[in-house]
Amino acid sequence: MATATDTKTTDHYEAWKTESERSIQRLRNLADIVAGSREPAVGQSARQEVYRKGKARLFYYEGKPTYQTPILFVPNLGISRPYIFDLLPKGSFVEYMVQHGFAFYLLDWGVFGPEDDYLTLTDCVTRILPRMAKKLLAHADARDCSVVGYCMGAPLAASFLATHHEFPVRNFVNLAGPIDFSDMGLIGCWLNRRYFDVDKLVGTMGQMPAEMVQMGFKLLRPTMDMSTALNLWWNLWDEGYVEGFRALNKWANEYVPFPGEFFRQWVKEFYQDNRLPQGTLRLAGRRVDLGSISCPVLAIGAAQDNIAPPRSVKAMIDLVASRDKEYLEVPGGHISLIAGRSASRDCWPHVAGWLASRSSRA
Amino acid sequence: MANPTSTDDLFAFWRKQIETGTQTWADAVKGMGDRGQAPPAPPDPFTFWRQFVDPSMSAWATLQGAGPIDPGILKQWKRFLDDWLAAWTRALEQAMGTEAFAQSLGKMLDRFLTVQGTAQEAARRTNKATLDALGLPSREQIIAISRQLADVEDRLEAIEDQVEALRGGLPSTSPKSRGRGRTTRSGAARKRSNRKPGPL
Repeated sequence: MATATDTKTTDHYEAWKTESERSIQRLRNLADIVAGSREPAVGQSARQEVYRKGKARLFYYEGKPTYQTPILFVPNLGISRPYIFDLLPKGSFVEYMVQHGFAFYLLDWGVFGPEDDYLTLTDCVTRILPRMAKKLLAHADARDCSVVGYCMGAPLAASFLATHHEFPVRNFVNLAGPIDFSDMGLIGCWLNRRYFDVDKLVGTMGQMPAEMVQMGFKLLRPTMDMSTALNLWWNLWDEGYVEGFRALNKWANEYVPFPGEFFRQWVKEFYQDNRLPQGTLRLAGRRVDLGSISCPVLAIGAAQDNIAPPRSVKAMIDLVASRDKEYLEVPGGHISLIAGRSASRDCWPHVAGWLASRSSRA
Repeated sequence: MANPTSTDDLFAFWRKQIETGTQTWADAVKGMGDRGQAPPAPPDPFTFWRQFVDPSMSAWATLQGAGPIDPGILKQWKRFLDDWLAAWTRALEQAMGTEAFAQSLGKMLDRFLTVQGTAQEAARRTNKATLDALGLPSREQIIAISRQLADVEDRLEAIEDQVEALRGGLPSTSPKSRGRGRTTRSGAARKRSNRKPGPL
């Protein structure tokens, strides 16, 4: 009969054996990563380009929609590439929404060069967004659409709604989009007009270069690289984790510059003057009054978001005139709201469910 | 504190040490900035950390001599490192969220831009002279063409809008008019898949 000591020894042996096998697998996968032998396949959902204006492109993701109300998805401009929303099969916000019956259109702002330095935030809100929205309606053969903004895309889209009342928007969803910039944490502190001279930066560099964007975000969480490396080593034996890491790591290292004039306007009018919630923002002569938004609004903030703190997102709910409005705070950070396991558990189902109950069935 | 007797105790003990140490370090850095005075010599990191690391190493040695190591120690080690990073993240966030840090960051950027501006201006002049000599367009000229193209695009869109507005006033010649009912979703999907990219 085995004694308790024997059982414990066997358990220890099995546990160490498993750990040894994992360590061998870790070394294999590490060699694979270092050799860069497999390029991660990202953004695999079938799509077609519907319209192009300058660098901006409107994509339609192919599916069999069961709702007549298409979605216009407006992501951030600059900083990063939009394939994060369609990162991997079974790990894609786009795929999820398409599978849940929505006609999904993504606005890709593009990757900017020196020729785009003159592009302003006003251009984006009053020229590009209305044109794309119009093309979407024509392409979808729809009477109205839902607008979903993520990160910076949310205040841009909200500004579009507030200045183009004639455009038929049925629902608006703000995903981690800051609206009230009065307390923006570290970024807000660093961009304070007393220390940060945006005019000098744009005047000298022409644009906000990708390298500086990267430096800013790395500084925001200096331990991020160490933490990523540690988690990678710990999970390196797991093929699924490694696949996700490759894709996310590729995305996290492809920064996109800001057009100079856009960046100047973004920093001054949003971060430094906080005009949006005060109703003092004017774009192409039109006042951006969030109080004029009356469609159903859903705002989702992430509890540990250090880019768009939840309070800055929640402010939208207090400012719009909508009767049907809801705020939801989910655990996690800025990215885990839109990509990864927690997004597919905490955020996507809520967005899809909320929109489904407010969209027409085909 | 008494010597720890199990791995759990050891990690709890280390976590506390790390948190205390990190917080003390952050307070020291923050204090320098807040006072707005010339910063004193920074604390010697070796002396500073020794008070936390030495007891931990001694506890580790005691534990090693106690018998076979539990395989769960790897998980605890990972948890310990996570906690350590989290403690540092919190401490750094506190230190970087100060006016003093923002001010020094702003000054650093200002100095960089001053140097960069001078270098860029010199490079621009040299490049322009070289391109002129080779009979090639300068960067500014290419950018100007790009802007002209964007203007042409805007004008085309304005014309497109006007044509659509005029069409709206005329009876539809399209085989499928809105008056005949909405296209079914499957029909719309077929239409999408056949459609070419829109006009530029």
